[in-house]
Amino acid sequence: MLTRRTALALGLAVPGLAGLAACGPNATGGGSGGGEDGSATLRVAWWGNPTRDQNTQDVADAYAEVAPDVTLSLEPGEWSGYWDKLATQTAGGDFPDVVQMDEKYLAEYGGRGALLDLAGAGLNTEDFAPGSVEVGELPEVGLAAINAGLNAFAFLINPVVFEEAGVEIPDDSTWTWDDLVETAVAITENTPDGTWGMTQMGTVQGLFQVYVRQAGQDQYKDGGAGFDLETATAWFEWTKRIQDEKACPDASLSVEDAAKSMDQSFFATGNVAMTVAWSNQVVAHDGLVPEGVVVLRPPSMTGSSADAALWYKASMYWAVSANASDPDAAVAFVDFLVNSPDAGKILSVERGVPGNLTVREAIIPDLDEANTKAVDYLDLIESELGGAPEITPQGGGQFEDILTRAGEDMLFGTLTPAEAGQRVLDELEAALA
Amino acid sequence: MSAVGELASIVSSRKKGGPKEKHPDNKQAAVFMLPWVLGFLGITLIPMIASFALAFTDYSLLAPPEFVGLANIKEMIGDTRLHNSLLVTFIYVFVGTPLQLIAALLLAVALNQGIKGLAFYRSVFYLPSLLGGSVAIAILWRQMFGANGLINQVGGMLGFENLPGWVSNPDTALGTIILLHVWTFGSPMIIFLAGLRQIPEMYYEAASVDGASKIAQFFRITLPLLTPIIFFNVVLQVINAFQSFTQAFVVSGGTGGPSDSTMFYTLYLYIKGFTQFDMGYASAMAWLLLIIVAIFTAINFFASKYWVFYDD
Amino acid sequence: MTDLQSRPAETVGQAPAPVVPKRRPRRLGRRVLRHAIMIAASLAMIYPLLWMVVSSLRPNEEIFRNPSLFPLSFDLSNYARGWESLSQPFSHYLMNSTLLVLGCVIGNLVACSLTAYAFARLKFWGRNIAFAVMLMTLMLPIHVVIVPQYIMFSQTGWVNTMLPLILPKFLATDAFFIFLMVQFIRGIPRELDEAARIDGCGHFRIFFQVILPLMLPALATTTIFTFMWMWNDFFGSLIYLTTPDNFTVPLALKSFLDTQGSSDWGAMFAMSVVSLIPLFLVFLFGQRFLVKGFATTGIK
Repeated sequence: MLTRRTALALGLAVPGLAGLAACGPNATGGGSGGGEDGSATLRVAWWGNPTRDQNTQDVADAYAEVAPDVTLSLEPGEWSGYWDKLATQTAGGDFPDVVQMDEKYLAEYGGRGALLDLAGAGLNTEDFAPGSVEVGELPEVGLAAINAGLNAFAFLINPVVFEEAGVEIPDDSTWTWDDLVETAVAITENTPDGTWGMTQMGTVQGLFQVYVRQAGQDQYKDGGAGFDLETATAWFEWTKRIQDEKACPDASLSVEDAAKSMDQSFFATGNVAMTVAWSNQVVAHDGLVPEGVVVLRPPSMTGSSADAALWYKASMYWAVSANASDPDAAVAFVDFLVNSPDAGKILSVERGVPGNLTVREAIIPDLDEANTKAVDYLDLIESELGGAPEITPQGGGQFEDILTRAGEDMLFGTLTPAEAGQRVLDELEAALA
Repeated sequence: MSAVGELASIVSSRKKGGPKEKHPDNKQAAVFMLPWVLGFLGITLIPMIASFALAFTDYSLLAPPEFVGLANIKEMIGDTRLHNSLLVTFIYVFVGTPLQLIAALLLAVALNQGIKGLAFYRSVFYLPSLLGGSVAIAILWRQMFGANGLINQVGGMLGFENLPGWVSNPDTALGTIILLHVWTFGSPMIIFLAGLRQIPEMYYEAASVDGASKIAQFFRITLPLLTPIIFFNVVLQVINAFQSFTQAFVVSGGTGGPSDSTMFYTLYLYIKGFTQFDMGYASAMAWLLLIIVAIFTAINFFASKYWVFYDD
Repeated sequence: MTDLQSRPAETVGQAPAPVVPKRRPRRLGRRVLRHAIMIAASLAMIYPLLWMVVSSLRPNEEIFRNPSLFPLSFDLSNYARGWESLSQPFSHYLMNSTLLVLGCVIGNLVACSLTAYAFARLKFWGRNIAFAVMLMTLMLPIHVVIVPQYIMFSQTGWVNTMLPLILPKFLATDAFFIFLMVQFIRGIPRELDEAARIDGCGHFRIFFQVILPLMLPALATTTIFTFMWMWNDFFGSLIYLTTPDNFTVPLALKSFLDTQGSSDWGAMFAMSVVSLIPLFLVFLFGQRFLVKGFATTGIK
């Protein structure tokens, strides 16, 4: 009796499982094999959006003609999920062969031995713009990643709001931080309620970095905080000033604005005249504003854009797993991505302006107006660049969050600028420890 | 026999077996429990033990864990963000859960009556739960409770001026998330409904014959017979509320802001584990949470002896 | 009493009509008021759905400019674009999700009901400890358990298949439903079992012929919830499913969004609406079993 019942109970479960196993799609996870005949399977992972997913699919198809023996298994993702998955895969020893990498996490992965030295593996970087290869170098690894595109920090202007306010767009070769505030205040005053001159930029990490660099410091130095209390306090005082003088919306509205997607932001809806962004976001912003955006250099402390201390940042990188089953095939694919004009034409500037000048040359003729703005901006600032900043050290990925929380607490009035500066320093040092 | 009398007789018919018959069903249980035992040993147990062991390590996920003894626990004692996240979570659990359960129970009882179009209302009231943690709802919620959102527009029409941006103000942001939680009362409501339908009609028939009023029937039949299901909902909703993650994550865009006012415990744990690469600390946090939740669950079970009525 | 077993739940449809209310219908005014309250409450419940549907019919740039439900635009291009713009047609993701959800529903129904019966009706060694341990498994956040679990499953080569998501359901790892079913079984009068036992039934027949038909509401609840939770499951699917041909609906929906650049909100809303339809249908279908449970079997 019991055995028959046992069989019955199992009978319910077993065919079910067998059936499911049969339904399961072919597993490729974890395994990628290199064959002796040059055949290889590479897992390629990136974060993005439907456009980038399509670009990457197209470039993979193009690669299939160049290297027919190589099978690419494409693994797209969305930003935050991508990092959760990548960390889990790393823990499980399933790090993909080729990954898109961000500056924020480069040292986290590279410093723990997950990434291959691309220079050592023979990646050709001859054609890259001076200074653009170094942004992927880590002392422990060598060339841990090669940039997939370059970025610079920029001010974006909605000319329609300036017009409504009757305010002239400032000359970005001479404007100062004070000019910025005065311009913004004038716009707020000359427009109806609910329109402001600028967004609250005090919690934007990129602009903070511009500011501390102009003060002769930087975000990081020798793996620790690269700025002092005085500079951090001055920054928060400036942040408070733009709120107090109503150059920007109040704390609550600013928090709301920061949480919105780009399409919903005050800048996109024409409620503020100026915002800040990385240059690869120019295109997205340009499409949101009726007359298109005007791109300006950030202000300087001296009134000369030569002192703006800007820098090229990799908008993202390509990196190869240190444990790739077929490193040669993986590096060859990365070489195709960054050095082939054919690949460049497919990928265009969607991941940022190519660091490879030959590729850049090849794609410029086909660019539309918005993309041209981004490329022109990079060209414009090339002669004014400051020194290359240190790559975000391990733990530095938290800095944005630290800065935002301290800034918000200060703007809501629970901290003074000096206290906020102190907290940022304390928390950053703790995070980097 | 009156319904109440019948209930009393069922209670008194509980039997206690002697020590010999304490486990008379071991063999059958081995079969019934087989999937669970396999699943527990094969799938659940190892990750649980691993997470416990990891609580005593420094584990970045990207490199092998290193034993650090009680360092994580010491760090937790001084971690003010963690203390704040506990406070936020406690407020959420002890305000949101009772409100949600009361709403669910009242509506379930209302929907269990003979109103026409019941299936329609049931479906409509369940809708928010279907949408619950989606990105679309997060966007809508931020928009509705924004400074110029629907709520303030309605408030403005009613004469309230200068209403704040509810989601972006540290004093009110948590409230909007609690409201979102209460609003998705559909799941406990469905469980209540299922429980209500399981109450044998004969009790009500008997009570009607005895002339008991509807209200008396509710308190003397419905509520007592529903207590196992109420108990289930209380226990599970408390357990789930302590681990609430998705709503705060999507509404705050993963930051727990403004000023950590919606930084739930599990959101902080997630940030520690995955964005700050400190899975050892996150594991220690998880086990502290387990202890807290286990204490509240034990209290629930202990208290249930006094108010939950079983038919066995 | 014993004729109860010869009356399986399938005859529910022919069960006698509910007892005729002995009192006169309530006054019309009260009924109207009741419906008015219900309708007002329904509006608050349904507004988000309406907003989603209306947004899905608007061009991308209008979605956030216009918080009201009017004017209604009727632009189906979001649907066309959403269906086609990912690397697979959206039907592919719907199929994947359906497969995943069906597997999980079957697994939970079979495994959890067996386990629940044992916990509720059998006396066996270690029962209380096992029950406590089972509840404990509910108390650990998924974020710390998933990494060790992933490492386990990556050894088996099952990553990028649905097995790591479905198999655990067949092994009764969803303690929520076990506990739910235990509570329902404990609500079933024990006299019914005893009567069956006197007739010579073993536990397996009692389970299949007495308990299972009577716990139909709990099984329906389990089906609805498992469907809903797995249909919306993001984190597990994210970790285990890596290539787009295996993506489920939540992963596909996320693909429309780009936190750093421009997102295709219109397509995301359109496909969100599409993916709600199966959920809603399952709910509509399942809730009928919530109603036709024990209560209407007319035990006398």
